Amino acid sequence: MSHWQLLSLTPDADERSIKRAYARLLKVHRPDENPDAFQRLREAYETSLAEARWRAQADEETVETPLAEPLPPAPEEVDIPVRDMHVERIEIPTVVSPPEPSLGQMAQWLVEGKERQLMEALRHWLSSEWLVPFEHRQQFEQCVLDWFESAPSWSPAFFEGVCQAMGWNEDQGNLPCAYWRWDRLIRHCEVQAFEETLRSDLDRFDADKLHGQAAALLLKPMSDARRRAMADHFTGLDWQRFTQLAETIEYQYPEVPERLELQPLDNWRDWLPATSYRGVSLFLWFALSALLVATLFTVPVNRDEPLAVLLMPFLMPILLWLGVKLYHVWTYVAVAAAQFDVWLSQRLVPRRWYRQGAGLLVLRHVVPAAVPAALACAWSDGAPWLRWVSPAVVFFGTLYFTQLALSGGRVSIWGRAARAIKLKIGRLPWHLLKREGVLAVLAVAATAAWVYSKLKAVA
Amino acid sequence: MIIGIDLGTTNSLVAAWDGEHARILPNALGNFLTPSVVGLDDEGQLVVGDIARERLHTHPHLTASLFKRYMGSARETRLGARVYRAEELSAMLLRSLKADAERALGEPVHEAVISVPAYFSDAQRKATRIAGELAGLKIEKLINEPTAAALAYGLEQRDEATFLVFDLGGGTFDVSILELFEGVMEVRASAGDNFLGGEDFDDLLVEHFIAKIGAADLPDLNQPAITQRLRREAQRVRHALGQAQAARFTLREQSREWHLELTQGDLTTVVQPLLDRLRAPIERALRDARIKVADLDEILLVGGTTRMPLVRKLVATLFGRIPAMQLNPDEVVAQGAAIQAALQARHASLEEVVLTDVCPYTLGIETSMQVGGGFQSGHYLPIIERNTVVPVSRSRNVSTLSDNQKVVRLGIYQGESRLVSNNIFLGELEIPVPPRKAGEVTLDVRFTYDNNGLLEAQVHLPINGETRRLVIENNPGVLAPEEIAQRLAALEALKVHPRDQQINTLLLARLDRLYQESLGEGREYIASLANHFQQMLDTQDEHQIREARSDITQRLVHFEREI
Repeated sequence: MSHWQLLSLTPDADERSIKRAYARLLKVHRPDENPDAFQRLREAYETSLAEARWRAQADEETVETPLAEPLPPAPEEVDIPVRDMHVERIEIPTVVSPPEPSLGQMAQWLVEGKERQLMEALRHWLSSEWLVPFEHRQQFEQCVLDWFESAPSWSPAFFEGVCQAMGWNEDQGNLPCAYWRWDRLIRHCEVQAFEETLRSDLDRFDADKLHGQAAALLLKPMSDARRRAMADHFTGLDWQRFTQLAETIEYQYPEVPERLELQPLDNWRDWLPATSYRGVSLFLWFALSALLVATLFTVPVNRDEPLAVLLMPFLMPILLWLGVKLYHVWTYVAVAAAQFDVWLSQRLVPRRWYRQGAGLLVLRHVVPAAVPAALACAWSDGAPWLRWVSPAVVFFGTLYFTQLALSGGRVSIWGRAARAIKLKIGRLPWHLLKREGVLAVLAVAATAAWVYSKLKAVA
Repeated sequence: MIIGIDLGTTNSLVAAWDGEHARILPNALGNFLTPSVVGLDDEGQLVVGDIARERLHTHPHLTASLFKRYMGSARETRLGARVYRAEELSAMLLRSLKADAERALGEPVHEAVISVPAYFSDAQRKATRIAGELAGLKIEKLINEPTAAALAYGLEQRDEATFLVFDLGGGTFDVSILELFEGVMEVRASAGDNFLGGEDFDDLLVEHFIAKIGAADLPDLNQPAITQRLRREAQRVRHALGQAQAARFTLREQSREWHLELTQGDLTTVVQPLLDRLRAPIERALRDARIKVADLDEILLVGGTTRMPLVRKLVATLFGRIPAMQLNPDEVVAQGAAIQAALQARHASLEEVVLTDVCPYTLGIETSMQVGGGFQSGHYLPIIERNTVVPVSRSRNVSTLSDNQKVVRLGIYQGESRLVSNNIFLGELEIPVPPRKAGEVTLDVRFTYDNNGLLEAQVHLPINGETRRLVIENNPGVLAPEEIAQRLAALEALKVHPRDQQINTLLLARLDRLYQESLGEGREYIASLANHFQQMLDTQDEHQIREARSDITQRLVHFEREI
């Protein structure tokens, strides 16, 4: 049942007939006798009234009363008829004219940013006799609100000062306008404040290159090499600030960089340091183990070798750990040569993987990937195709998983698949194991079973 | 018969509908206004009204006044051997008003409509209800004072109007904006200040007097007798300045006297801070009602303090027009309450009018908000916004915050701030919930605010279909039911001062007070009058007593005028 039906009206009813219908039904659904029915009626009434008023407002332009219009001339002294009391005389003081400067002048000042001057004028107005009657006060208040809404920019401190002077206080529920209007002003304030801090951060960076690095990395236009070098020297705290700033801009103040005529990095997530290289390790472990098992097919086996091959996957992590340590040493060299690295990578690495210096770099990632590839080449005996295919698979696989790890917040295909599986079987105690743990257990079990059957066949 | 009672800070009234008018019922002394003062006399019997007011000066430890200000709080006042809460003191007053009404109407009275300031909170309203219960009255309804005043003005006979009620009483200030159409009287918005009234004007005058004379020069100001005397004098000066250009503030103590000449200008300067405080509630009500001043058809002045020309001038200036004051501002609320009582009883002589009121405060619960990575507690989630038409029932959904949460603690608050720490705590409820992941358990919190301004909270858990109702506990301002029964018994045991002797007791109390206040010859004169009257009382000859009483009363009027 629509709110119109509840009032037995058609949707084009005017305010008067809505009120009449409400009054009629109110006698039936009295608030003290049937609160539930009353509430339904009340809600229908309020909704209908709001719609009717909105329609009426859309139909005709609202006529605004000019502020300077004086009050209707009140008689200076009036006898009030008072029953049971002696007759009193009350005089209404009449005020001649609004104070100076004019409202138009003040609005102009706000646009020109003369806040101090405006504040003084505002105080002068507020202390004047002219604003004592509520009618003038209400009009004045709306006027001040209009200034704030139409002026392109003003400082939050000034707005706060005005709030104090005008007695606007959100905590006490004293707001001059509807919430949505007020929230817009508050948001404007927050944007201004944010803009201020951002600007001062960037200025500080320009001055000493020590402070405001997070803002600079995110917003300053600079060469890839320069940005890479800067990011390499970021500490954990710097990254935290960087993330916070980037998220704040993205979610709360997307318009601020434009106001400062800056363009934030659109791929800022790529720049975040990789949280884990587990994907790479897992891939290498799996690929190299698979390679060893594959050699069992391609070469004639002697009796001891299958056992050694069976043990190999379990020893592999030690090998990988050594490799990681070696890689860490290498990164010192690579970071030192960052400038050359970026220059080289710009030319050699595909754009999708290079990502303006945030992705794969030749010295840092591509060269080290050649090491496991060489290992694969060395381990693949027997079939010549394996000798060619295996290094290529290992090399590109390593690169793929490395760039995946570098791509920060994005989730890989594997990650998504694993999550989907996890959701499906989430009710089982599986979730106690980590994602990699599940894969490892499955892989080991499968390999062992298969090798066992093979051995049996050989025997 | 349902009566209407205006339970004021300074004065209280009782009225009833006689079929044509709302009639104010006189008390045992024949007055319409009963001062809101209660006390115990020398025999431990209960005295109320004018006698108690006289005894406020002579026996400050046995009398209590201004207790309406402590309604809804745990504050207790000592009277003789026992301490009493504001509810109990109000109950004593209500009991006396009930007796007055019964005598005037000639029939027993069991039900009443009591008026409360529109800006009274939940706890204060509950306390008023309990006071009625303690006095043996069934409270049919609590009506807001400005609404009652509007009813008394008979505005319902007009077709369509919007008006503002400016109610400045002894202790509270209320503003209500009402709209009238088609026999519906609708409160659009209410705002106010529960601690702003005539008594505060007196306080400021007393402070001014002390500051001008110098505290070092004056007798010990901590003596209750001196305080009471200063307050009474301040009130007298304030009333006098309503007509005269100047008045003299006098304090006598033993053989010394202090004077301060005050003009109307001085009064304006002294009370300016209070006059400034009148602005904000009016502004808020106008904003909440979304109304332009020009659209108001009338401004009604209600409450004794609006008799002050100062206040009326201010109102005239603020609104740019002459406020209406056709009815006696002291009596209009009681009359309105009586009309409401008649409406409640569906009295045939009254044209049907339906009244809708609003809740003056925002009511809500405490919630946590996600800020950055964590949660920050202490945020306010409004459930019923202020100035929503009542009765109203609204609900909001909240959910658990952490995994395996076992209990949800729901804090209920009243106020306008976004942080609960700035709002008034009303109560708390602990709800056990089944342990689930964070956010999986939702709670449906429903607030129901009834026609009398009493709040009920209800929590429904869709996950297991459980429903819990919140009896607001832990609120020190509200008495628990068992306590009510206990206090009721204690109050009933209290003997009331015999009604037919009240007029004589009042005269004696007045003589007592004047004896204390006056010096030298005057004092001897009063003493002789008191002795004479006591002798007459001892004769127990009704005729002689009456003659002596009127003679002495006249002499006292002269005496008081002279000093």
